[in-house]
Parts: sequence; structure tokens; C-alpha cells
Amino acid sequence: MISPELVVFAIKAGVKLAEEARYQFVQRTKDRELVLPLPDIEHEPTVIAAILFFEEPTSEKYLTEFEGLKPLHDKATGMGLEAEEKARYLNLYKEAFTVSATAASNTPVELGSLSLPSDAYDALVRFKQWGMSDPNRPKLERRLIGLVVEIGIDYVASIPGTINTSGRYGQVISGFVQAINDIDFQALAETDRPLEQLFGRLVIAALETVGEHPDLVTSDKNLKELIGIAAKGLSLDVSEKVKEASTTSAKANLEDWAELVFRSLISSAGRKVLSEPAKFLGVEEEPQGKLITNVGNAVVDLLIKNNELDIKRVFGREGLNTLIDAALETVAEHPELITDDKDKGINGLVASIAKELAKHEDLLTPDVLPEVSRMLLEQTGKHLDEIFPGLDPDQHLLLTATGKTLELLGRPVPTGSNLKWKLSFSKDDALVVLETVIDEMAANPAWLVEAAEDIDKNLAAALDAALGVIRKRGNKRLSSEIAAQVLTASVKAVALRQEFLNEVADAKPLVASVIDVVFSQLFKASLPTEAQWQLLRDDAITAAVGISLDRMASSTMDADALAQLKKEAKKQFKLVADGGRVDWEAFDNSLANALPQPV
Amino acid sequence: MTMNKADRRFSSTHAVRFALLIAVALLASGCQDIRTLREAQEVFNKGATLDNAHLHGQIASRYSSGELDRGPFPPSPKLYYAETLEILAEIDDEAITQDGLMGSKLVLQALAQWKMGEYEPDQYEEALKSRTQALEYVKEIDTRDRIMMLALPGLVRADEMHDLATGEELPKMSDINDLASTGSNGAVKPFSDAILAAKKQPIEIYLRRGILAFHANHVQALGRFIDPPHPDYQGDKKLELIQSAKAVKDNAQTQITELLKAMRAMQESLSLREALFEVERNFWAMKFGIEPGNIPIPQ
Repeated sequence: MISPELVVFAIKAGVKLAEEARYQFVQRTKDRELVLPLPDIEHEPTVIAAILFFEEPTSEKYLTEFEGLKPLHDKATGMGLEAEEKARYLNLYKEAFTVSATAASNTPVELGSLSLPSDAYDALVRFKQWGMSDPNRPKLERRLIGLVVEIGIDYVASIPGTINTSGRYGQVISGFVQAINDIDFQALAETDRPLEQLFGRLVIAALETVGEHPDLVTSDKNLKELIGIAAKGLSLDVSEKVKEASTTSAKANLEDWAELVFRSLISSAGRKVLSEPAKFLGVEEEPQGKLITNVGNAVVDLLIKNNELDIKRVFGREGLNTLIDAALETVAEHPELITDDKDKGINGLVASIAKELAKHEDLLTPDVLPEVSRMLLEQTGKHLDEIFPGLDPDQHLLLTATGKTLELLGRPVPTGSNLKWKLSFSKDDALVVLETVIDEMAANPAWLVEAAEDIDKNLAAALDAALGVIRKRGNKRLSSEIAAQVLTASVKAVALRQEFLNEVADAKPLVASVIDVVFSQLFKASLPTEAQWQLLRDDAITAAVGISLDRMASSTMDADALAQLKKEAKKQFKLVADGGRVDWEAFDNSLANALPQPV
Repeated sequence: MTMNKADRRFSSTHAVRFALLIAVALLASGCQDIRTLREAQEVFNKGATLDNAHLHGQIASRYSSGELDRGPFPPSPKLYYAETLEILAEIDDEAITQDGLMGSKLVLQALAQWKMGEYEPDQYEEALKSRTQALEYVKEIDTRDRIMMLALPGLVRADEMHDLATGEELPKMSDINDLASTGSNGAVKPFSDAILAAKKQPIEIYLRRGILAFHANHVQALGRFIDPPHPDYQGDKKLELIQSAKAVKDNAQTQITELLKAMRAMQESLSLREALFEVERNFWAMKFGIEPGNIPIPQ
């Protein structure tokens, strides 16, 4: 006997199937291939075409090669041809054309053999409504999948005990059914259908993601909860945005992106939820799962808020995992990042990071950008109050410093300038310098607080000056990797002693003056080749800069100390120039003795 | 109360059958007009296939393959186009509008009327009227239907030029010049607008062939003042006319190059045979008296 629930289910499913079948029938009729006829044209060659052919400079030769052609052609262009002459003239045209076509072809062309088998032309005359590459074309198969899933969910929801909820896929379906139960589909269906369609896609995405990550599956109910929360939160938010999108292409992009975010959310959040369910599924005094949906929606917003960046290209599947992972971790540690103001908190921060980094797309290739985002998010979480005052991205110190650093590293050498070192920094170089800037700034919260207003300006000025010295003094023997290490050493030195930012002798920060002293000796044009061999090795350059900055940091850090550094460097490098062996220990000792020490 | 496994399987089978029955019953009750439209599409396709077979010289092979299955011999596409219009007249416009297919109906009607114009010139006007109505419904840009409606005035004018080129009476030069005008009342502009809207979709190939057909008819229409010789077109006047035809030919040469480029760009997606490039080039080159070697095949 059929249960009443099954009868109701069957009626509902039947109506849905009929509706969908009709929709498909209509769309397929609209999209049906049409054979398009061309305007009529005549097949036999004409006198005017023959005249035009023989008048071409390249085909004048036929007039002499073909017997009797020239008088016929002259008559055709003159007083005109009689009927019999016309027939001969046109025959000669066909022959000459065939010779010409054969000469232009790889294979001989024969008269009357210009047509191909009947199906060869099909692609030129049969056309569907939409080109295959047209993003606007209806995705009929996807709709069908959505419907099947929808009916499946109806079945599961209608008939108790139909699925084993302890299995891997059972948990996924069960999570969706739970989420669906809370959504008023009927009300939504009256206006539009994006939510239903999106939900169908998310079910498939969840099943696939869980299939790819069997480690996510446990016997407890957390996975089910996670999927339900993420699917519901994301699809409600996205369906609203889809309605607001102005073009079908924008709508489709948004749905594609939401699906990608959802996949990342499940795989990234999945592991965290399993290890710390209380933290991720419940935020104190907030609705359950707000943490996860907030992060998901913040990342979805990237597509809408960012006009300059091709988000889908920059954050591929892996990049998105990195970003979502870091965002979840940060928000879990600091639930206060969840705010109602979409321009602040985690929403504002994720959007601002992408926006800031997008400005430097030339330097930060897609594989690096998610990593920089991760570093920024992680450090933000560690020093939230100092770095992110008021949760306002405009006042995010690390973000500002990151932007300035990237701007500096990506700045091209002006054309026609007499700067000696013209190399550009690679993405790896940029990452090394950025990592140091971010780590050192975050590692000195006190410094951040004290110099809050000027820190980014000072740091940028120091880096700018250091890079200026490198560009002025360096030459092609200096790789971009070592230049980046010198900049890294400068940032570390400034982080260690703020006095490196002072101008003591010339109009540049002390850190740049120290590099200037070292580079002016290392890259001296008059150095013999043997000395250059020793001094311009990568490890020699970093050692010279490192020792000089270290010893300067322990000195009085004034003009006197700088003068002593210059003197000792000159002495040390002269020994090498005179044929001696480079001795960094001796250089270090000589600086320790010569540089004035603070009292 | 939960069911055991066997009960559930048995009941589910019944439920699925029941659901399908409802679906089929609902579907069968309301799709008659859609089916009629599809029938009209099929008949039109047969007419167009016959037309294209004439063009490509493949009547025999299309018949033997069963694609062309009826009509007198030599067959006439007219019968199919006339039948298309008859079938379309049976459709309930209100019902088909509700399904969002009124645009599809009007587009097919406009195309069939255009092709009927060769036999009944009044149908050209009717085709343009249907086109105006169709554009009210066919709003989705980039679609074949909208692009075809943009191009339709050009297609009609290309056939009108053919009528001038092959009619019993010598055409008026002013009529030829009107059709050849580059303004919105000429044949070329609608094609250009449609090509722009096609945005490199496969239909661009069709549109470029359409322009070439128009140019071929234009050259042939001019040729009527030379062959047979016309007393008013002798000496300098005749040379002037040949120069006009040469200008059309130069234009056509550019169009052939563009056509071949479009074919090359879409060769893979449309599975175009390599041999088709030469055949297509030679086919058009011969209509205009162009040396094939002057049109390199793009690689």
C-alpha cells in the first residue's frame, strides 16, 4: 500500500517534472537548429566577371597564353560580344580561372569539381540559437540536474528514514534537507528561481567535495551541520545578489563563484569544525554558524566589490582555500571581526586586502596573491587592536605598509635615467620583502603604537632610500634576489633600531646611508677583476651589508659612526683590491673596535 | 512510522510511475502550439536545405541521402517556404506568446516570407513587417534570431538585387544604386550591424557569405549593361561601368578574406574541413573574376 506521504510526494514531483519538461521543450524549440538559406545567386560565370579577371595585372598573361582570347577580350571591353563569341570567351575564362586556381592550390583543381560532399557545408548553413561560447545561453542540462536533485530532496524530506544519515553522502543530503526545511521556497518561487537553482548546484558541489575529502567524514553530526549552515547562509545571500546583478553574464559569474567559495568553505572549514566544533559552529552570543557564513559571504563579495581584479583567475581553487582557511582562523580567534557593517570587520578587511593587492597585479602573480592575503590575515589576528584599530580597513597599518612596499618594488626604472641597476623584482623577491615587512611590523606592536601615524611613511621612506642606493650603486652583477635580501636586511634593521630612520649625515635615512657606504666600495668600477670576483659574490654582498647594519645598530648611530664605517670599509676592501683575501670576521672586528659605542 | 526496506522499494516504484504519469498528462495537454512551431521549423529547414543544395550544386547527393524527400523534380524550395507559412498560420499566437515563443514564430515567418519574395515580390514587404514585430519579442542579444532579424533587410535587398540582375527587363541603374547604397536603406549596413552583433559567433560566417551574395548580384546587375551590349553604355561610359564593377570586386575581395579568417578562427569548433577553404575561396573568386592566388588562405 502506498503511504499518503508518497502520494503527495508523487503529485508534487509530477507537477515539477511537467513544468520543467515544458520549460525544456520551449527552450529547445527556441534553440533549435535552423538551416539558413543564402540570397539567390547565379552559378554560371558572367562576361563582366571574365572582363574583371583578365583586366587584373596578374592575369593579363592569359591573354597571350590562350589562343584567340585577346581579340575576344578586346571586343568584350569594346563594342561587345556576339552570342557565339560570348560562349567562347566564357569557356576561356573558366579554363584560365582553373589554371589560376590550380597555381594557387596545393592540389590540381579541375573544372566542375568545385563542390564537396554534401555534409561539408553543413557548419556553414546550420545554426543554433546560441553559439557554444555564448555565456548567455541557457544551461539546460544543469537545470535538469537541479530538478533531479530537488525531487530527490523532496523525497528525502517527505519520507522519513529514507537515507542512512551516518554515511558520507547521507550526511551531505541530510545537511541540505535540514537547511531547506528552514527556507520558504514557496515565497521565493513566486518572484524568481535563482535560489532553487543555486541550491541544486551546491548539493552537487557538497557531494563532490565530500567525495574528494573522505577525511571530513566522521560519525558525528558536525559535517551535516556545517553543510546545512554554509549552504543556507551562502545561497540566501547569493540569491539576493543574483537578483541585483544586471546581466545574465554577471548572474552566471556570481553563481559560479559562489559554488567555488562553497566548495572551499566545506573543505577548509570541515577540518576545523571537526577539531573544534564549538568554536566554528557556534559563536558566543551569535546565531549558530555565523562565523562560517560571514567568511563565506565576505569572500563572495570579492566578486562584486572588486572591479579591477579578475577574482576568479587570481583566486583559483587553491588560492581560495588559502584565503578562506586564514580568514576562518582569524575570525575564530576574534569573533569581534564579525560586524553588521559590511565595510568593516572581516568583510571590509578581505575586500580591502584584495583591492590593495589588485593594484600590484604585475608584481603579485595569482599564485602569490593568496599567500600575501594569508600573511596579512594571520598577523591581523595576532595583533588585532594595534594593527586594525576600529576594525576599519582604511586604518589597517599592515595593509597600508604592504601597499607602499609593493608600490615601491613594482615601480619601474625611469627610461633614460642614469641609474645603474635596472632589474625588476620578481614575485619571489617581492614575497620575501613583504614577508619581512609584515613580520617585523607585527613583531613590534609597541613600535606600531608609538609611531602609528607615521610608521608606514617612515618605513616606505627608508625602503625607498635603500632602493635608491641600490639602483644608483649596483650593477648587473647584482641579482634581484640579493637586492631583495638587502632590502629585507634594511627592514629588519629599522625594526630593531628606530634610529635607522634618522638622517645623520646626508639627506637620507641612516639605513640607506649604511648601504650607500657598503655599495660604494663593493661596486667601485676601479676594483680589479680578482677583487670583484670575491666581493660581488651573493654571499659577500649580504655579509657586507649584514655586518655593517649589525655593527651600526650597536653604535651611537650618528654621523661619527657613519664616518668610521666608511673609513673601515674602505680599508677592508682596499686590502682585497690589493690582492688580499676577503675576511668578514676581520671586518666585523674592525667595526666593533672602530665604531663609537653609546655610553 | 517508518517503512521497511522492501515496502519502501515497492512504494517508491509506484510513486515514480505516478509522478511520471502526472507529468506526461500535464505536458500533453498544453504543448500543441509548440509542436506546430517545431513542424514549421522542420519544413523551413527542408526548403533551406534545398536552396543551399542548389547553391552548392549538391541536389543529387541531398536527395540520395534522404534529406530532400518530396516535391517535383526539378524541386523548388518555394513549396517548403509556402508550407512553412501555412503551418505558422495555424498557431495560436496567445498561447505561444505565453510560452515565450512568439519571437521564434515571427522570425521563422519573416525568413519564409523573405524567401517567398523571389516568387511573390510582395512577400519582401511582408518579411520586413514580420521582422519589425519579431524584434519586439526577440530581445536577447547575441542570439541567432536577433542577429538574423538585424540582417534581414540586407538579405531581402540581396535578393532584390538578384531579381534586377536576372529579370526579363533591363533594370534601372538608379534601382541598383539604391540597393548598393552604404546608408541604412542599402543592403550592406544591415549585414554590418548584424556582424557586429554576432561577436564572432558562427553565424558571422553566414552573414559574410550573405554580403558576398549581394556583391555577386551587384556585379551581375551591372554586367547587364554590357552583355548584351547596350547602346547607352559604350566607350568611356562602358569603361566607367567596368570601373564601378571593379570597385565592387575589390570590396568582395576584402570580404572573402574576412570570411576565410572567420572560418579559420572557428575551424576547430565547427569541424570545418581544410578542403573547404579553397573551395569557398574559388567559389566566390570566380563570381567576381578575382585571381584565387590574390586571396591567400589564412593559416
